[in-house]
Amino acid sequence: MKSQAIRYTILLAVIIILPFFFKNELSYYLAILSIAGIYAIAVIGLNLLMGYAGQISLGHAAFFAAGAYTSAILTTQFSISPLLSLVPAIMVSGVLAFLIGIPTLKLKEHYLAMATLGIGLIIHAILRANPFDITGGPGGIPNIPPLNFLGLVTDSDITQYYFIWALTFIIFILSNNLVNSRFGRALLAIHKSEVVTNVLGVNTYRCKLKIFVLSAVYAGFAGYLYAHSSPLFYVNPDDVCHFVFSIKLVTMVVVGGMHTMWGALLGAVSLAVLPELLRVLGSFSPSLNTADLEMALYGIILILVMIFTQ
Amino acid sequence: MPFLVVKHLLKKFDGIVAVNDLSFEVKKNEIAAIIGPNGAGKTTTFNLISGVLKADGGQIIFKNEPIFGLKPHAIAARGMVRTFQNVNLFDNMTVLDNVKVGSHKKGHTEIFGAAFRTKTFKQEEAAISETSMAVLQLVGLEKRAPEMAGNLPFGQQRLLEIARALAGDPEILLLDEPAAGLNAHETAELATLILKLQQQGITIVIIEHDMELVMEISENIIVIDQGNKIAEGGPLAIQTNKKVIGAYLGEEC
Repeated sequence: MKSQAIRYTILLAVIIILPFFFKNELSYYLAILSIAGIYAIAVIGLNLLMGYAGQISLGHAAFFAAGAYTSAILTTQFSISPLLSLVPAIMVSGVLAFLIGIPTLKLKEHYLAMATLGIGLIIHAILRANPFDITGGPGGIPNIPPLNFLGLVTDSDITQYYFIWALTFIIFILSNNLVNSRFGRALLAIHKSEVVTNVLGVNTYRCKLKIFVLSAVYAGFAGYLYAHSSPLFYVNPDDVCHFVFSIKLVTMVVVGGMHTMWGALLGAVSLAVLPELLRVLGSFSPSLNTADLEMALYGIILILVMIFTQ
Repeated sequence: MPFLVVKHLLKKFDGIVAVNDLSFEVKKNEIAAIIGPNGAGKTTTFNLISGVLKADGGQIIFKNEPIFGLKPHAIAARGMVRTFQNVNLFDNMTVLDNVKVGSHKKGHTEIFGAAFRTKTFKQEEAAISETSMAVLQLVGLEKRAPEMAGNLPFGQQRLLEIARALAGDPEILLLDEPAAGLNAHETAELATLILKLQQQGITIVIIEHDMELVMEISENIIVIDQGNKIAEGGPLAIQTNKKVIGAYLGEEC
């Protein structure tokens, strides 16, 4: 595992020195990279579910939103410290996944994909409807405090960047460890054939439920980080819970190749910076709607990957 | 006391009876064979015993405990593992990792131990690697351990499937047409392996079309045709049984 240690060291070095490459508009690039790190956490979790266990979630934004909104509500309306809202935030995501997973994971094939698609749409609608006047409706929740961990406040772009990427790095290593284990092998086996895996003595239903909940917890944690570090310290339903965001996460996993954690990391970062590249492209041609172009590109990427990985 | 008892097993698919009132017993440490023409219900019987399919009626008793209605993993935990007619390897994994999945039920470490590489986790992984290599050695595949399972030639894939089943330390092994697609030399090696497993104390039930292999290794043969048991006995009795000859000739017409 020496080569693995070398790769980790290189990754860490890249994370540390990357900010030094941006002389102009440093804070702008740091904000993009911080969001990329947050996406990476959600994508690593989704990759465990999709790439390893072969279970598809088309509503992962719902778990991201559950983490983001839980912490946003607790910190703005109940003045709880972000340190204390972490556990409730990821718990809400995990419990939501648990409740969806219990009935749907007993069934085979595409039921999970359909159920998660539905839950994504429902949560989005609930957030917009502003029940009990706590989610802020379509406008969302503003003025969320930055992260404050034992004196470390992520109120500057650079502390935020290093803080988020330190977490991403740790989660990346832990996830890499996880897939190279008895549990990780069971996930890969389920991906190939659930019946055969079950017959060999693996409780496949429990494995699927565990990985589904875990992957929702990753998304919830990413959402939590997003709420406290989005550029305007603000969450709204369209940014964190839109169906398009779920598809974006799926595309990131698929671009990464679905077989390695390194692929997931690369997929997340490359698609997180894609809109910025498109914006540069858009500046040459004012008539170009870059948001539409971005969606079209996700579609094209998904189609191409499905064709060439068959 | 019989090791495995199947009583009045019944399975219908959309009203068509696939397995009809099937009863038989397997003694501890014997090699039993289930034979019959194509579509007789042999694989369905395995699917019912191993919990892959739910029977519409009957009883299955293994080691004096009813296992009817249990999930496949629960049946595997009691010591019964099966292989499949179509080679069903995890071709997205290495040969060694395939075998390791077979030993999953013997392990204990969970998500936390794996993520943080605890001492218990490392010890367990080392033990799993060691026993998995030993199983590969038993079937003669130890040199292929790091290769992707899908890259093995067909005959070795069949052996790997048996190795993967053995990794779970089964007390009874259900083999579904293990010789299908093997050449004469490979089939002879398979016979040696099955006899070796019997010597190690494993009870074996085999579904097989290769009559030479069946007659050579089996002590008790159960013949089914169209879901019904038409004969049962030792190799000699079965070879001269008129009903059996009729069923096989009928298939050829």
